Amino acid sequence: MNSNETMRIALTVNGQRVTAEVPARYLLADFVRHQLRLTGTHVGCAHGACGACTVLLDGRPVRSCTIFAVQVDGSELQTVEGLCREDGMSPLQEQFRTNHALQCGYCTPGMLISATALLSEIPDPSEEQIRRYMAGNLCRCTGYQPIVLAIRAAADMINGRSEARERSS
Amino acid sequence: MVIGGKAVCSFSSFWSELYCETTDRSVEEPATSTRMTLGGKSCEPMKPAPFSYFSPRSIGEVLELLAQYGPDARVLAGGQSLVPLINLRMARPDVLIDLSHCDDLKKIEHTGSGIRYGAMIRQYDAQLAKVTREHCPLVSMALAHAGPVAVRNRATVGGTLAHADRSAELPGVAVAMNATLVIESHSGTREVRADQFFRGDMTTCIEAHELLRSVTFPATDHSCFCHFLEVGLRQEGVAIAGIAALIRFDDGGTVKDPRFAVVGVEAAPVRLKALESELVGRALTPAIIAGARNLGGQELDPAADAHASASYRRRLTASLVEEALERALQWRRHELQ
Amino acid sequence: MAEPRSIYVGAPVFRREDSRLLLGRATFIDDVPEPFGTVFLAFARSPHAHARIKSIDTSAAMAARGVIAVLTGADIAAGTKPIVSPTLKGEPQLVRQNMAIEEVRHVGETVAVVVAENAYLAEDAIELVEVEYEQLPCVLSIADALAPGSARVHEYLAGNRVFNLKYEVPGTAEVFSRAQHVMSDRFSSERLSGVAMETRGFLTSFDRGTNKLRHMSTAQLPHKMRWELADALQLPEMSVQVIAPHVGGSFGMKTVTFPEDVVGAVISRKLGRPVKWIQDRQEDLALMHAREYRFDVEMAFDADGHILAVRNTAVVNIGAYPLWIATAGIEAGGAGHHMMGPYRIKHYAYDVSSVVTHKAPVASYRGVASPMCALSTETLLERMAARLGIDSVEVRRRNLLRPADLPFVNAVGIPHDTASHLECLDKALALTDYEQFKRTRSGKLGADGKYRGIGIACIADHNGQGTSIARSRGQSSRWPGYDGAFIRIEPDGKAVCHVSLASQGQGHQTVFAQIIADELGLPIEDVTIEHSDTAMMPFGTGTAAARAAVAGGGAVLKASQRIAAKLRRIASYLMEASPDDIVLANGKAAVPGAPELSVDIRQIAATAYVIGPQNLPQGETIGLEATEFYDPPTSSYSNATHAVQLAVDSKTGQVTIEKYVVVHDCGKRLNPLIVDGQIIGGVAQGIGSVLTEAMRFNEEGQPLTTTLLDYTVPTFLDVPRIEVHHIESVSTINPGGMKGVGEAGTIGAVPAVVMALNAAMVQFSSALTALPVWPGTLMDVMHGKQ
Repeated sequence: MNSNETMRIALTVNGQRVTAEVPARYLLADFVRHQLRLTGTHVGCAHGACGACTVLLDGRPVRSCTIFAVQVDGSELQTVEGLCREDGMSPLQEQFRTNHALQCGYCTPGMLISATALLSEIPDPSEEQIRRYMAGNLCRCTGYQPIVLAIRAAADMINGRSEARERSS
Repeated sequence: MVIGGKAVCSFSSFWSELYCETTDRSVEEPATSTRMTLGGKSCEPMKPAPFSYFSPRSIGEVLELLAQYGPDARVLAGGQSLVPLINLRMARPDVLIDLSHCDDLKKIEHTGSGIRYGAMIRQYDAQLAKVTREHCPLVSMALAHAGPVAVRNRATVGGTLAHADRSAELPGVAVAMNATLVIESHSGTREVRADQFFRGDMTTCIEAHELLRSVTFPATDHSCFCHFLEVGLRQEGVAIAGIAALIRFDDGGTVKDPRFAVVGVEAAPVRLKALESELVGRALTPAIIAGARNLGGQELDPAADAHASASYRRRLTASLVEEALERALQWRRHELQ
Repeated sequence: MAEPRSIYVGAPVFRREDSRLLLGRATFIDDVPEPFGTVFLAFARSPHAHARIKSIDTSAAMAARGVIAVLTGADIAAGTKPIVSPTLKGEPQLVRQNMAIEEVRHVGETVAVVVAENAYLAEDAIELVEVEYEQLPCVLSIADALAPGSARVHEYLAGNRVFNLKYEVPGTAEVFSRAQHVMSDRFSSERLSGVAMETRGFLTSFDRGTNKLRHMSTAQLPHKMRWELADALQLPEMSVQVIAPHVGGSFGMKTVTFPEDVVGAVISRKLGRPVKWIQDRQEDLALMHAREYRFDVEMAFDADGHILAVRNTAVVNIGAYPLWIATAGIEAGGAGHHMMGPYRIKHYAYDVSSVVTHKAPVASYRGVASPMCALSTETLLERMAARLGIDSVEVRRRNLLRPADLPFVNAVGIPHDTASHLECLDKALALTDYEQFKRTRSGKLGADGKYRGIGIACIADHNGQGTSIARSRGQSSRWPGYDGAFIRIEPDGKAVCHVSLASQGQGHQTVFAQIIADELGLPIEDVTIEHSDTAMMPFGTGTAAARAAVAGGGAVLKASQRIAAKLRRIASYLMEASPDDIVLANGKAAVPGAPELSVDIRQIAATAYVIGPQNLPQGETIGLEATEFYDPPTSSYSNATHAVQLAVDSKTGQVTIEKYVVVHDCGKRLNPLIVDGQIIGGVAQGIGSVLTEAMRFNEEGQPLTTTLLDYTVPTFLDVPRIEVHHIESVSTINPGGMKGVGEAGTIGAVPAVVMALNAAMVQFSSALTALPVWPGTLMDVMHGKQ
């Protein structure tokens, strides 16, 4: 495929079948954001260093700014828009909210995707494990602490161990 | 370490060879440059420049493409080093050969003496594989440092070796363990030992028409102490210095066949051969360790860059050697119990 | 009069803005659907720190695929006014073109712009622009800039100093000359970059029929960008609309109207098409800088450790140009104004300057000069204590403002009205077992090969400033000092409020709604806050310098109170009760204890809009709207003590913070969740300023750390758990009792971490005065080479 051509790709995005024509150099992050108009995934650096663009590709967290759209033909892609449940936000999203784990919200989709992957790999992570796993996602607003607390609380919620502490809303 | 932990700045300091995997490729540099010079080297605005894209299904196809396009082509493995460079326009291949559909490159196999990893094995898969943890634990230990999980999910064993970033972990392990790399081209196959493979920062012996097919790490058993540690500016990120160490002890408790390879300090991974010779046949005692520490630091010719001075790298190396030996001593004592 | 019940204010209300951010539905600038016909920009930038432009050949770029136009500095100058800033008295003004024409003065200065059909094609074409440069010698450091005979960054100026402010409390010089003890040192910091997770950008559209500009942009201060664009393009202000969508962090860096914004607007006007540009991360790191300081600080004290006088001679490196009129003075002015901190200092003098160099122009980054001011003060205090043989905590006690001192007007004329310095100090010491740790572990090598240290810093954070203080600091009067709120209760009984303060993550849509919901007795779900659109927001200063809670909160409170009064008047008319007896709560106006005397606010609204059968009471105007402005009569001071325990690895120099405690007082906390978030986030940036971040340059002025792998902001593994405790010394300056909180985390973290490092390294006579402190630096300290 030469540089002026486009290639047809077919994949599943958040459970929906999608087909598209993409040029070779089109980054997956740009494809998701500008062609699919799923703008929840953000680009923070375009050199794989900040994690804001993290998506789940075939169930694994990856940096969509380091992958070309042509490479995901036949894959399953999940973005932040696919995380919520039909009846509302996922436990992680809920706990991010109640723990004030976001301020400007720009890193948040990447955080949610990475945290989703973390909890499926390590369902009951210690604080150390959370910090180590998430260390590739940068945040400039929160100082990370509330994100750690939110992930820990979500783990509890998912495991049914305890109700999240009720606070006023 | 792949681009998840890559100091692009180090490209600038070591840009004696222009960025390339082979020794004879060059990047065009127009006479009058409008590009903002960043990182000490002309750096284009972001987003990839155009390229032609191929997605071969077999090694044979890859080799044909390489034979055809050679110097104008780049092989795309995990993309965690290459794609950021392409986005920064520091790499501008005319042709990109995507290996992600080459199943031939995705096997982990036992050979007579070691474990062979196909070039496209994802780092995280290699790290977690039972065969790695049992037979090549040093590979597992090193890969745990190779960037965040999201990077390790895409980065490959072959890619990080071929990219040969001087702070990368796996090249250090390959040199420490005397790994064997298999390089293929249309004209045949050759095997290269790790210490012949790495030539400098981001420079290996792979030629324009060649493909790194696999790497075989000798198996280590539980009688071998394995250790990997690196230190960076932050708790997470690029290594300023790292060490891969293997030590075997004989029944009397003296060291036999010690191996130390240091990354991040010189342009390529380097064995601490003087230190190794010094330790052979000796028992590890605090006095020996103190002496070894100094030797380890002196043996190298560390580089300086915007992140660390040469003297700091030297001191770090000494500390890493000391730490490795202290852990070996503890391990030995524990094993004897 | 019946007081409104506080249901929301003071409670940890979850943020209204969160659900769309969590669901991926929030619109940031690059998410805004581009109108049909939008064109995209890419900028050609100078690779040299200082050069003459000999020629620019745009022909190849013009011929490239998808390119519509290529413009250079001369083209841009034809359509805009340059930025003109005052310099020293008697000297010419400094002119900055919106795009370089003859000379470039920093790496990254724009020299040409490509306009193309999409961003990828624009990038392709920009590489084809051929520029011939003649490199010129460059001046990079403060020392270079001030050295006699060095190159002048702007040749029409006498030198490289472009701002100078002096002040002396009469008698200060005498105090210094008579003082028994004087300590002094030079404190310096390398440049930092703000690194908001979102870079900046805009989508701008000029309508050539109506001659109006609609500029969507990551503006932290939309009204300021509006007047500056209007000025640059010579348009009346009412013809310019600036809208900030969700903005992914700013920390002061996006308060500037950058040249790219002007260029985009003028291109849109020229072509009659919408224009889009998103800065990439390399440009961001190469261009968005702050905090390159050199402070020469002296402190005079008596034999009992009382501070008699302080003197600060500070120089700030602002880069090649002031970015807006006040930039030349903002950091330097802060260096002058914020040295007092929480201490009782009678005699004070400062001489603060800004110099220009061939580096990127700076903006004001969280904390501005205050972290360095606090670092200088705390360092000299501790040295003084060591010299006199007095415990360093005791020395602080002797100098901290006490309750009996308050209200206290400090040496720069700003009053401290309420404070809790000693209380915060005591609590922080108790929470960290300070005395015990100091005695038994601090400065000692542990069995794990680490030196541990405990350090504290006492700070006062100046915030919530209004017009009078802004003027007294020499800041431009074009940037007012007040803020405004327009509130309307709609005919259906729900409220909307437009505030003059934009948000980049501070939670304004929640905090201001809390105030309104309490005052008007509405459920918070019925109150919506809008911000960041100059067509709707009242004119005001905006979010900066930790002023939103005070200035914005004050305006929102005033406007709410006016509407509440009208609600009560109408309710009293409808119910035939006295307005003084009426309480607004739960969506109703009611008389407590008289259940039949109750009317829904929705019904009051219908009455106010003359909907339905009721008439308005006589003399009342139609509707339920109020616009109020609040100008804080003076600034507020928050205060805090930060206490840090850390470990320095003797083998590697790496630092691990093991315990971090903040005892903080920002008056009445409107939302404790948000307050804690600001403090913790600020501390994280302070930790980065000391331990992990610096913008490095080579000898030719090239910024070297221009990727996020090279410029290392703290990660999850670098920021410890931070314990935050609160004391509330309610402010007497504003009716809500609030004080600001946005910057205090950073201001306290910088000195506290350094004090802890000094404590850990005490046996090596550690005297850290330069930031950042790298592991290699600490290794040098431990090996005797400071």
